[in-house]
Amino acid sequence: MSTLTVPARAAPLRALASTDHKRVAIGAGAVAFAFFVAGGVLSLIMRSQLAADGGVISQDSYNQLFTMHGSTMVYLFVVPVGLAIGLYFVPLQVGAAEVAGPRVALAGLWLLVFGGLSMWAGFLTSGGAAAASWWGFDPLSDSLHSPGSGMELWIFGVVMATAGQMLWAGCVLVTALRRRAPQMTLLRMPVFTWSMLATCLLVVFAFPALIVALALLWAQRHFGGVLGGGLGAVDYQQLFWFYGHPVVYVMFFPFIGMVGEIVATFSGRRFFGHHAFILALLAFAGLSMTVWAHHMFTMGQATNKYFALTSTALVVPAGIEYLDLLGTLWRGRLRFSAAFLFALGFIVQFLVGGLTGIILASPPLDYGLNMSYFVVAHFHYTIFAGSAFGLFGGIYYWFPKLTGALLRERLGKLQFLLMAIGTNLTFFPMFVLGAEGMTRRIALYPTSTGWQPLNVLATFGALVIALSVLLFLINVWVSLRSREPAGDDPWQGQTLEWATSSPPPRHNFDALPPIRSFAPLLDAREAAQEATARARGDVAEGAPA
Amino acid sequence: MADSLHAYEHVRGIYFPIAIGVFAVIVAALLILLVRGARRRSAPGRKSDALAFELFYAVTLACVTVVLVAITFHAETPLDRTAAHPALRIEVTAAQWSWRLVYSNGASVTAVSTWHPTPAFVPTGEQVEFVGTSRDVIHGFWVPQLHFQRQLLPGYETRFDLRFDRPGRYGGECSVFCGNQHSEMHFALQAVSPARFQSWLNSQTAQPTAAAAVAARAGRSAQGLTAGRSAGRVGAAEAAG
Amino acid sequence: MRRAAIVLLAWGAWLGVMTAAQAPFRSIKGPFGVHWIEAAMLGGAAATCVLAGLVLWALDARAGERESARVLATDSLATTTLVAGLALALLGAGFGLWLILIGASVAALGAGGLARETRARRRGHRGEGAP
Repeated sequence: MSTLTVPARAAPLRALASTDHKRVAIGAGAVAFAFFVAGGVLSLIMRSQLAADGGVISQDSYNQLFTMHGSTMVYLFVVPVGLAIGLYFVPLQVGAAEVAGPRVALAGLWLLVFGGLSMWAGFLTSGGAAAASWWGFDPLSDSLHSPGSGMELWIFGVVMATAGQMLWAGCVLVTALRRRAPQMTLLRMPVFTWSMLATCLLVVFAFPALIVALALLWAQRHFGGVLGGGLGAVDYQQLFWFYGHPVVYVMFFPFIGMVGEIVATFSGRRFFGHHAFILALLAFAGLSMTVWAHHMFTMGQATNKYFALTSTALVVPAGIEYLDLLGTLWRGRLRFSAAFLFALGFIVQFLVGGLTGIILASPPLDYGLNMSYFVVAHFHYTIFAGSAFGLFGGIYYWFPKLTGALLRERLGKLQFLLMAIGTNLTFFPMFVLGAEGMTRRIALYPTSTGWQPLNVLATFGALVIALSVLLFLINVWVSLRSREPAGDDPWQGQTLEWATSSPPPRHNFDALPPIRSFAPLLDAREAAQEATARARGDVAEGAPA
Repeated sequence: MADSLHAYEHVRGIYFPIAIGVFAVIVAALLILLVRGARRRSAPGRKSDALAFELFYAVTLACVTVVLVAITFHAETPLDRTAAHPALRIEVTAAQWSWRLVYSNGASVTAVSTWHPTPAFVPTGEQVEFVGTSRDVIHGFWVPQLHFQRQLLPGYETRFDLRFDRPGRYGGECSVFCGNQHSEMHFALQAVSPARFQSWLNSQTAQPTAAAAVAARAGRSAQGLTAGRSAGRVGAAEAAG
Repeated sequence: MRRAAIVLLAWGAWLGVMTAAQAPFRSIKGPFGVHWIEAAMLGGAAATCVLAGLVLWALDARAGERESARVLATDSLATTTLVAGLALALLGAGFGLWLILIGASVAALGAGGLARETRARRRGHRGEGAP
């Protein structure tokens, strides 16, 4: 399969309108990361408020802050960055020359940009940004209780960003299903590609529910009579959570996929249980579509027991995935690079989030803990201590492929150390605070509650996290200015993206190596080693396995 | 019947140790693998599948799931039910940002945007049924010490039972974010012996005590309450009927 | 390539099984009655996924060999313009007809540009073709 490239146009035009999936992905990743920093600044203000005795900001401002913090992190950072990394690497990992529907992918980038700008423009309006939490739940979000354009801009922004994500998922899904290289069968796709496939299934089949919910909300705000009273509020939440649970898996699967790649590479061996992992991924994704109303246990308006059953059943595929990750470490020869450290951080810390999730999946426990800081701790452990650590692992792993330069290892390890300390100092105390009865989404509390010391600790942890992110940005700056060339394959990788230049050309590959398993480069290396050994007469007999 | 405190403690006593134990085992296994892998000099292992073992592991996890779910269902069923003949029924009305608890004889206790609410009395050792609704947005009736909460929806009545075994003050919070003064939307329940409760209730019939003073301080929210309270006499008649 | 459809068919079937598993819990009626929306959403996703799988199966059965050469365009300003126009038009629903009109005009420009790009690409195929 050969391709012709149309001569390149001027650079500024390319930045705005490139149809190269790699450029779109880098643009999307950069935009998402910028939103991460913005959302992080909001959280630092929130943490200052909660550590201080007496208000730093007004309650109304605080409510806008946590709404925009959660909305930014979910809609504008973690979901798009995972999809962006898939957009970059799935075509490479399956040996394709480009993504399916390159202009559709480009459209997704601009939908993210306009969506994010629209949401944040709320801060510029007289009524301020949206302040009805990232759920935007009715009736709090209707025109009576959330008047003003901040809420309108939020609704439009979320719709646009989500639509862009659905477009990306379609592109990546079609690429994996229909644009693989001739020898790349489904079962030879690596774990990251399969994790992206599961991610895209969730985006395509669950995200439409959010669009419907927000459309109904918008209609309710403008015409009324759509979401009426108690029943309407329940329906909004049924629709919202049908999206709202799968989205947290969209914020998990890409990162466990990249952790799998990192662990295999730095263990020097094949991923363990590849087929079982794939099956677990698909089962996990399917199950995650069936658990949504565990967010509604305390309403008493959903079939609680069904959702308790499906939510607890998540331990089965999760356990298999953890078994396979540990199995990949088994008998490995480990290299403790920065990427590998972040992957280990993911494995340990996500587990805390996952186990506390099983606790919350039991209604008798959820009745006591829901809407408290226990839940806040739970989901920050899964999304930040888990997925964000996996993300940084992926960044340290794949940065050389994107740019041709290595990130500084020492700075990376220091960032890991600080980030791990900061993360646990920030979020572990929240389990205790929740068990002590501290409600989430409160802007202040009297010191007589005894909650202040742990809140001060959490705020200190947040500052440490901020420092670690600053270190990361410095690392990127230094590494790009004074480059350590990476070459095609700095880590002795196993998958196809390492079989081309860093960065890859527009058409991705000049030539593909033979593909006989999910680790073609490892196969080639092992075959070469055996050939050398045989030539030297070190192997007594027989053809290689 | 509905005893949320003991149900929670019972289930927690199983789930939390299991969670901590699983975490410890996995981290221990991880550390062993890391130490071994750091020291390894020979070529890495080649074995990369063990389908039979994975199947066995998956089945084991499924059995664990069944056990956990059975424990959960068993503890949950009484919590979701309400007694046919509760000893006491209290009507709860939540509004931005206040609570009003009304007894069947028309007595009421109100708490408006305060961290130090006047408590509503309840008897110990008996099923107390709460019938809750909201006047505007969704609110959450949460009693942390009983490990129980229910969302109160506008235009709909949520019913649930609570049981107070120990006497004392039970703080109540609004657990569902409900707007500007969500942080301050608190109520309190004072559990006393049934005899003391009855004498308190009788003394309440004449005037709903601190409510008036508190309401006067609260301004805008109080307007809604005043209207509600004058309708309260009608409401009391409806509640009794 | 036919086997790709199996992923969608199998996943959709798995969702269907989980929808059916809701049935034994239906006897537990909530105060608003049976929660049909739960079965409708999950069952709808299951059915859509299976349908998509069938469509993909049919497409794969019909698809011939891929073209041996493809021209890779490097950019599409028309796409960016179209999305900008649609975004403005959507925001116009909250801010006024004037913004809707501006957005629609920009979107029309983008759509026109897309048509031009598509025609140019087809000409490229017929003209330069394979190396």
